[in-house]
Amino acid sequence: MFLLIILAGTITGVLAGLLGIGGGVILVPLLTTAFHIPIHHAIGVSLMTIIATSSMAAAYHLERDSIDIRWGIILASPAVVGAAVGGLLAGRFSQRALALLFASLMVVMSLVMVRRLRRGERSIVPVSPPASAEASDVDETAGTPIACQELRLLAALGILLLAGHLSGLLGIGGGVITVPTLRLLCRVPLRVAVATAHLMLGVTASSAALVYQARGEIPFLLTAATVLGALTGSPLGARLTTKVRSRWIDGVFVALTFALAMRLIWYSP
Amino acid sequence: MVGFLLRWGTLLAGMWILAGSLLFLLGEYAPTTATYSSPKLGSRLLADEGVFFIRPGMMILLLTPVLSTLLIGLSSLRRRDWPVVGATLIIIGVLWLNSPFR
Repeated sequence: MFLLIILAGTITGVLAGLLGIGGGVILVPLLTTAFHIPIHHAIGVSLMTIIATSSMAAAYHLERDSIDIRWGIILASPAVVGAAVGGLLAGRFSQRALALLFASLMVVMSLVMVRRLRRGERSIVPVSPPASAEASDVDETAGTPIACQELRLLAALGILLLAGHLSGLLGIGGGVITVPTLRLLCRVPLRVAVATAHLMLGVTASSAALVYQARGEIPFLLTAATVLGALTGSPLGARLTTKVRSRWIDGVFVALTFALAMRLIWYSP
Repeated sequence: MVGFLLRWGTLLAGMWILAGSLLFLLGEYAPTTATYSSPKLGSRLLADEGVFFIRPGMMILLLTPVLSTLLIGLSSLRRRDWPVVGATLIIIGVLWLNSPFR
């Protein structure tokens, strides 16, 4: 069982590295439906895994000076509040209700991704830039001051509160919301947005993880197995991005998300 | 400095977790390798020791982003960058309210 969960963590890590996402959207339903782990525990485990992978990614980007620390901290504050509230709220939901909520989010995500794929775009805005994209983004200067107008800033703070809330409630990183918010509302270059999001995701996940920890919903052995798997798998996945065609990866991700959503809907804890 | 803290905090946590997981696996799956007189007791002790090692690893992992935020807040305080200090206080306040150390 322990070794199988390490394997599940590694697979999630590889997919997360390949797709540039946190991995919670795959890990939570996988642990719940394949290993019959209560969904609250699966969310706690997912949050700890997000802390590990995003901290390593943030450290990598900090060394390359591509994180806007100042705005990262300012914009992380509503997300941290939202995550704590989301974590507290999750405790009030039954397993079934939380599973259905998670599945609904996954179905919506799948539909949005299918639409994007049909229009010939990437299915998701990656939290980690694919290795091949790094060179082309290099001219977007690191540490560019963000020209956030007041209204845009308020909108960004509101959206990030919601992103943090979803992160705490469902154990997802929320990078799919954070990166576009930084890009579109705060006009941050993609490279800086992606890097700054990593710093924000780690702090946000910590806020929710502390709530789950206080409720005893972070099982140590299970978390150890997934953290080890994800720390091994995500760099491997990131390296594979240059070798596998992106449309093919996107297709697999959409199919996997939809299949896991269906499994979660019909799964009765 | 923040990058250094994030990287080494996560790696340190990972090392504790890896050591704990190896001990747990030795206890769970290879009881005959235990050096105790009773193999079953030995394997159980090894597995428990594993959990004992994993626990501080989890705590370090959980505290790594918290400490890095605190570090950013302190350096902003020195620069009198009040919006960042305010945001840091909100973050640390929320984390403190949820913390088991409270």
